[in-house]
Amino acid sequence: MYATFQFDLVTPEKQVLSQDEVMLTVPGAEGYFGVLPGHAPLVTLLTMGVLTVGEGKEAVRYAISGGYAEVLPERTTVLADRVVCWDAIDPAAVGAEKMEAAGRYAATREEESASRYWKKRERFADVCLDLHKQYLARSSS
Amino acid sequence: MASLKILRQRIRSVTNTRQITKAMKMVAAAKLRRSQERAMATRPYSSQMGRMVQSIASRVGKGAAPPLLAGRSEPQKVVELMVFTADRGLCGSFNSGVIRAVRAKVAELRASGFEVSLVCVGRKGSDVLKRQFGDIIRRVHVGVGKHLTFETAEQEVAQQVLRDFEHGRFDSCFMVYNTFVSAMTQELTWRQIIPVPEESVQEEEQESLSPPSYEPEEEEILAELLPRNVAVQIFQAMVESDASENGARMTAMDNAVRNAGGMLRRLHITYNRTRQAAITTELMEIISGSESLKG
Repeated sequence: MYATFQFDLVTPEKQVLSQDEVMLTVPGAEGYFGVLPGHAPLVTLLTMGVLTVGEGKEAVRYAISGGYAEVLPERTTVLADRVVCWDAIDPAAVGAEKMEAAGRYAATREEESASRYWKKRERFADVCLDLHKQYLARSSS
Repeated sequence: MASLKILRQRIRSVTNTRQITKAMKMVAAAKLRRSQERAMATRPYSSQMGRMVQSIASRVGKGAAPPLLAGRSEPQKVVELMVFTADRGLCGSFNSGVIRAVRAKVAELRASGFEVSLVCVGRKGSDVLKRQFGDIIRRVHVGVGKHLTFETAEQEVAQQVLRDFEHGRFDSCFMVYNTFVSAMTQELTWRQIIPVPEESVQEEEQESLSPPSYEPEEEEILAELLPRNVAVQIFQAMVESDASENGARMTAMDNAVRNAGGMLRRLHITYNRTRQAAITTELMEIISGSESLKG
């Protein structure tokens, strides 16, 4: 049995993480699932949600806006569309983005692909704000 | 021999040119660092993506594969070429290399009976190509490189390509762009993005060990994955092209600076010689004048 596995978190713009990891919690398309070393091979779509890297108190959480994950016994790769680490969330900026996205969503209601895009941005902003609250709660406790 | 005044003017103008090219080189160098980092940073994602597409593709039966993956069943008629150039010139053979390749390819495709359409990303390519192929240019994207993020690339460029494909406006799509190798070298690259090219099967052994499970079904994943893969490939091409452009411009400007330096040196020598010659003649005249007075 392996003690750790290789974990890569990449977005189209950069490689966010590449390290040995002991545990992940991943927002799969059919529900959150955990990944431990030696997990059965799995390819899955991800939904918008929170990716937890590590276990217990040291866990770091990331808001991701969807993507794919490929899980192999000794290697897991998460291809995410957008990633924000929970200590990098600026509530003011995210709030502004949410307002903008909501406005654009209302304006582009007829155009299907554009409105879907802005709706997604709006929801992502929500996830970020939520995660920020969790971060604050964790730091204060 | 040119007069001193004209030489002085030339020297001044060449000095100015050198100053400008030097500044442009500095700007390109600064931009290069950023865009090079970005090009490097996107490579893991697109290669991982490619690997994933390949591994799922190998598992989906030919019959069930969507057209983005396997191509249309009827014979191909229209080929779309995506041409990635810079928005601005002054970068050596960066743009002309791409354009030359496109011309050759269009001729080749037409000779074998295909229709061709072009999508130009970057102003320079369309400027030149529209003279010859104005009627087959489908779209021109200008200024996307300025604040390039994946999301803008996807929204502005990739979505339209995918829509055109869905509407049956073309059957296969190739990209031509410069891949960044180093600041000095770019590599002209042709890449097929629609349908997904079949790659040589090398992962076979690893695959046979453990067939992964899919969540949701393969087809559903593919339906999501393929459009995204197209967007990622396009984004990758844009980023590579951007880095190459800055590299090419830096090299071109560096050459220009050196060239101007050499020219200045030669001009200075001519200038000094002319000046010396003038002084010598003047002295000769004075001496011969005073000699004749003495005598």
